[in-house]
Parts: sequence; structure tokens; C-alpha cells
Amino acid sequence: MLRSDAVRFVLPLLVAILAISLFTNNKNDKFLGSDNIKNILLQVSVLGIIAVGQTFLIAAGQLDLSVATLAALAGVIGATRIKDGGSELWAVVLVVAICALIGLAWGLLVAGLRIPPFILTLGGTSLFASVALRVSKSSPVPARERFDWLGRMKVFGLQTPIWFFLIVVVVAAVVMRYTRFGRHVYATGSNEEASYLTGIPTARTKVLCFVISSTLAGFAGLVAMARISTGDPRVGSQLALQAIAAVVLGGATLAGGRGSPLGTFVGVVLLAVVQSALTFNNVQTFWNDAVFGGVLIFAVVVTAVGDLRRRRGSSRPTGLGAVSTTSASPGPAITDPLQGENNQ
Amino acid sequence: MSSTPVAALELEGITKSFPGVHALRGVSLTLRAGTVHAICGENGAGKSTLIKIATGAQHADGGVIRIGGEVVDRPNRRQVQARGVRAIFQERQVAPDLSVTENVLLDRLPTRFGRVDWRRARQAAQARLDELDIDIDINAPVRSLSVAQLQMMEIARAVSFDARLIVMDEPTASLSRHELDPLFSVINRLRSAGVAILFISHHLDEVFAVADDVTVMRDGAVVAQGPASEFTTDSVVQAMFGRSVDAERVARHDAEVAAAPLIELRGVSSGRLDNVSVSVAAGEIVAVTGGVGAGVSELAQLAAGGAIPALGAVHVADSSGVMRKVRSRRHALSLGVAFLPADRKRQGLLLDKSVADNIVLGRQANGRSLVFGPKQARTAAASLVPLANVRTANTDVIVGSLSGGNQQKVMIGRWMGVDSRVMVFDEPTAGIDIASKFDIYAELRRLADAGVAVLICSTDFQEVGQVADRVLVMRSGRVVGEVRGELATEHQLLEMEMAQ
Repeated sequence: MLRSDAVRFVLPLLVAILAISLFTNNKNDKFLGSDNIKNILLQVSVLGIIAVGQTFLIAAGQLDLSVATLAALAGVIGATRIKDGGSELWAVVLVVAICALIGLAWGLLVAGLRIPPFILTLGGTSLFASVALRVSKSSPVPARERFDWLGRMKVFGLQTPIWFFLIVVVVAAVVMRYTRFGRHVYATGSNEEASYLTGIPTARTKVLCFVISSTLAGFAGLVAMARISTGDPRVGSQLALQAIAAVVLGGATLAGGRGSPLGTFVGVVLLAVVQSALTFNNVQTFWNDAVFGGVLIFAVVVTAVGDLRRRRGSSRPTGLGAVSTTSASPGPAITDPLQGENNQ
Repeated sequence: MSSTPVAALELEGITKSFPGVHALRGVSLTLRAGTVHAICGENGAGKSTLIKIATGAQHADGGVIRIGGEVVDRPNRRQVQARGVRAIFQERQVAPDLSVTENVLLDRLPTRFGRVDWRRARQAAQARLDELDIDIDINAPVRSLSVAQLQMMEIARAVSFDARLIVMDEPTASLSRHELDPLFSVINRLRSAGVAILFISHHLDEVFAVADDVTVMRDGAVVAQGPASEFTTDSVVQAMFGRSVDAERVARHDAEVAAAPLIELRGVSSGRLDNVSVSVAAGEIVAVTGGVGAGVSELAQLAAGGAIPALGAVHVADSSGVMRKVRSRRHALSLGVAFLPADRKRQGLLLDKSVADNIVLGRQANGRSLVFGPKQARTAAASLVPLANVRTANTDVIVGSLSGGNQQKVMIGRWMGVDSRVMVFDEPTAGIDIASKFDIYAELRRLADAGVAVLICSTDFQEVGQVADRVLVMRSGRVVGEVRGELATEHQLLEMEMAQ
């Protein structure tokens, strides 16, 4: 299943990235220069780390909208800790631990009380934004040129955020593909009730996904803060939706059971290449969001058309119900993506 | 009836092929108005494709379709519906949160000054139900109806569209015995009102109870066709499979059963269940049976640890023979309890995943090591697929595309992979055609002979008589009788269930 998915989802994205790059490079050969490539990767590292965390959740049929403001909060707390000359490492450990606990709380609420994660984390989004403003007293907190190793230092020619991003992608890919937990994530997302009745610890799996996602979001927030040496409470409000977009571009469905960190990596890079190409082609910036939306819509439509073809082509589809005579659908047959739950 | 000149539906030489499969090879049938025409055939015979073509969900490659005498070329659903053809599928097509009234009338709610006239709407819906003598509260939300009531409501809806032809796809599949008679009397009313009915069913006794004409299909072709009176159950079965199916009891090979039970339900009460005790020893097949309201399915859930009883407990022997109280489904799994739910699609399988992903799921759930990679999965799948006799081209096939029988074998294989010592089956052959049923029965016996304690929860009296060593009969959540397997005829079980 993984190999064919990789071909179906990742290959078209790679083709798109290549086409856009060659087109832009034709006009301005700095586009494919190593400086711009490094720049693209650097720009995208924070989003990428968050998106990888989101990949776990979406593959498990869950969702977390609060990662963007959690990242901002993490940056603010980190900057505040060292403003008074505290230890950098201690600040990082503290922030990551707080975020892990928040993820644990989300997971317990979702798995234990069966609260739809969409609504719950929407609430969290506002909550964290407010707390970040309170902690920072509504203005950016200077980090005084600290956290060099986290945001600006170069290792083997690449800045550390790029390394963090790449390491997170590779580790996540290994975890998803080769560990029991990773397989449980896919099983839970594919059919939670069946997985539970088989004996898979679906609750534990979901909780762990929330912990991973929140932890990575907190870490990404610290990286973002370190890059600009400032804990900005209003940074990256778009990050959550962009992360979800990247995960879906990479072959995941919000219904769960699909998605991969490598796909997400390619999805994130595609978004960044598009943005960079717009700049290189002197497209006015107010078009950026429109293009972002267009790419996402185009990608899901292409995937949906592919799925439809495959369904039509199969000899004995089970989906007689799909051609329903009424506009309404029977409850359990169709998963509500906003609910993110496969049963009930 | 034979005097009716115009046929409601005529199919002539319908062909359809999918990549690599000839789904239909020149199927012809005539459905006369005011008659019931049954289509029989095992899974994959082409029944579903035929219905889809007749209802406009798919287009035929060749052949002629005449509805009410008029040729319709490659019709879509809307065109077919406009000619009075309605279909009632196994998957219910209703809006669960709306009332019966709204579901029956749907987009044709009567209005007054642009607002819904609820009084007239209710009257109209009630009239539809009364016509067919259906007793359902029209104000009830559809979510609260039973499966049988939903089906009746869908029939009423079809009639309210002035249906001249109603396709019923396995209408009896999810009904219990007591719910059949009302369905049949509605069908009879429709028939005498001149409505033609295309009736698809696995159950031959039901076919003979209602059908005027019978068409038997095999491998996409019609192999027998004619008035129902010219067929017997045996001749239909013979035509369906091209051979007669052996309906003998799957007898126990080794008469000795270890005395100590591997699983014991002690005085379990929960929901409908009232103080139920059952035990199964190694090598034994015990069946619990009863009507749909008896609580048989709930019992299966409890036995497998999928739910924990309010009173009493389920005890399972661990590897050293000590009885342990089951705390959760996962705990039950670690004690070697397998669970094969009735609703395989919703509760058993990862439908969008491969055979390999599904068949290794037991091992995946049970093991302790952190690592579980694709290589391990592939090796495990390669050994489990032949062990469970799953017929599939390769282990990468998506499990949702397999037949019901093969899907159930994937489930059995899943549990062979973890050395299950107790296997709980809820409706082991639900949605499985007759020939594959016997495969599954043989599989159950092989499991028992290998020392597994098999607990079957089934509402199919014929089935439990054929496969079980011991049968417990339940009614309204209580065990009302027990009988040895070889004495458990349908008649005997029915009597026990009805007694008192």
C-alpha cells in the first residue's frame, strides 16, 4: 500500500515542483541556484516540522488546529525565559515539556471523552493566542542573539533549522513505516472501531499522536523564535492551515488511514517553491494566498478524480450506497472530516 | 397474471465487462407487471451488476433495456426513476435525523404560502403507510426505527413516487424471522396493485415464499429461468453452483473434549442480557442462538471483551490454565481470545487496506516489540493467507474488493496468526453465499480440531444445527434451553425458542 501511494501522490508533486522550478529558472537562473534552494528550505523548516506532527494526527483520523498559536506561545515563553539570562537548554526543555503536556491533555480529552478534535483544538487556538499575548505583554520579546544553535548556526553549509526539519522527516518516516506504533496509527485512522475490537490500543495511539504533534509544534515555535531572535506572539497564524494543506497534498485524507512524512515533506516543499516562484516572477504579493488556495484545490480535485476512476474501474464495488437516491447519507457510512472520528 | 401484455422491465442480451472480467454475458429476463421475479446466484454471479444496469447506476456494454415496453438507451438514474423504477438497497438511504414523514415525502413536502404544510404532510405520509398497512409512528425520527421498520419506510417512499417496479436487493438480509411476514405481506399488496418486484436474495426459502418467476445466474450468465413452481430448492442450488452442495453436518472428528473450559461467562448481565452463563472447552464448538432481539450479538461482544458486563464476568484460561477475569478487549486478546464481528466492514476490516495489512492486524495488535515493519508484515501475510485458505491473487489486493467469504477467511487468518485459543464469531456467515458458508463451517471445525474453543453467536438456526456441538437457545436476553448439536434441528430450536 505504501509503495503505490508514494507513486500516486508523491510523483505528481515532484513533477509539479520540477515544472515550476524549470519554468522560473528559465527566466531567472538564480531560482535553482544553491542559495535560493537553501533559502526555500529554510523558509519552510518551521512549517515543515509542524506539518510532520500533523501527519501523525491526520493519518490517525485526528486533527489539531491549535498548533500555530501553540508554536507562537512556545516562542514567547522561550524568549521570556532567557531574557533574564536563564539557561538556553533549560528553556528548551521546559517549553517542549509544556507543549507535550498540552498534547497529552488534548489526547486524553479526545480519546477519553470522545470530543471532536476540530472543535476542541479550535478552542485551543484562541486560548494559546491569548496566553501568548499575556506572557509577552502584547509585544515581541527580544531573545538577545541567543539560541544561535537553534536558529542561525550553519552545520555542513546548511542552517540548523533545515537540519532539524530533515531529521524530523526521516525519524517520522521510520517511525510510521517500521514501528508497531506507526502501523497502529494507520489502522486507527482507517477503521477505529475495527482496530479497537482487534485489540489495538486505539486510545493510547491517538493520545501519543497528539503528544507528538504538540511537542513538534512547540519545538518549531522555538526554532522560529531563534531564527528572528524574537518571541513574537502573533507569528505564523496561518501555519496550522498550511500544515494541514501540506499533509493533504502529500497524499493524506482527513478521513484518516493515509499520509506519510515523506509525502508531507514534498507537499511542504511544493508550497514553498510556489511561493518563491511567485516572488521570482514578480507576481504581486496579494496573489500569494489565492495561489496557495488554488494549488490545494487543484491537488484534491486531481486526487478525487483518480479515486473516482479507480472505484468505477473495480469490478465489484461495494458502494451501491454511494449512488444514493437522497441527498442525505446514512450516518456511519460517510466519515465527517470535521469530526475526525471513524466510529459513532 | 400471464394476460398482462406489457412487461414492466425487459432485458435482452445485456453484456457488461470490466477490465479482466466479463461481468454479464448476454443476460435476458422479462419482469411482468404485478409479479415478483427473484434473481438467485452466488456472490460474483453478476446480480449486483445487473441491478446497477437496470437502475441506471451503470451502463451496459450491449443489449436492450425496455421499461414499460419502451426502449431506453443507456439510461441514467434519473431517467430510470422517471419511468417508475425504484431500488431499495441493503445500505439504507435515509436521513437519520429527520422524521418518518420527511423521509417518506422527501423533497415533495406540501407547502402553503411557501411554508411546509405539516398537517397535510403528515396526512400524506400516513396515507402512504396505511395503503401498505405499515405500522410506524410518522413523527418518530428515523434514527429510532428498527431495520425492518426502515425498510418498510423505504418501500412506502418508493410507492409514494408511483413506482411501477421496485428492486429489492437482499431485503431479508438483516431481518429476523418474525420480521419476514410483514415484509412478505407488503410485497403481496404491491403485487396485487400491479407493481413489479425484482427480488434478490441468498435465502431460497424466501425466494420460494414470494417469487412468481426465478432467474438463476452463474458467472454472468443466466443458467436457469422459469416459473417458481418449476423449481425446487435443490434444482436452484444445483443451477447456482453447477453441482449439488453438501449440506451435511460438519461433524466433530475427535469425540473427546477436555473437561476444563477455556472461556466461561459467569452470570453475565448487561443491557438486554440477563444472567447468562456459557462455557466452551478446547476443541468444542458451542453456539448461542435466538431471534434478533435475544441479545446474541451483545453476548459475542461481551465474550470477546469488546464490552465489559455490568454484572457477572467473563473468565478466560491463561496459558497455565488459571482462569483470569477479562478487563478489556486488549486483555482478552492477550489471553488468546479472537473476535470476528458480524459487521465485518464496520467492525472487522480495514476496508481500504490490503489483504496483508488486514491479516497481520492480530499480530500487530498483540506483539510487544517496538518494531513492526513491512517486511515482517509481508512474511506473516504470506504464511497466513494459505493457512486460512484465502483466495486472492496476491496479498496486496485491497480487502474491500474480496467476496464476503474470503473477507471472513482473512479475519480467521488474522486470528490464526496469534495462536488464538478462544474464537468468538458473531454471525460467522453473515453476507456469505451458500457455497462459501460450507467452506467457513469446515474452517470452524478445523479450528476446533486444532484445540480452539469456538463460540458462535448466530441467529441462523440452520447454521448452528450444522456446525455446533452444543446449542444454547436465548430469548429476550436469557438462556431458555440447551441441546446437543446433532439434535438441534431448525424445528427443535424454533420450538425451544417459542416455548413457555
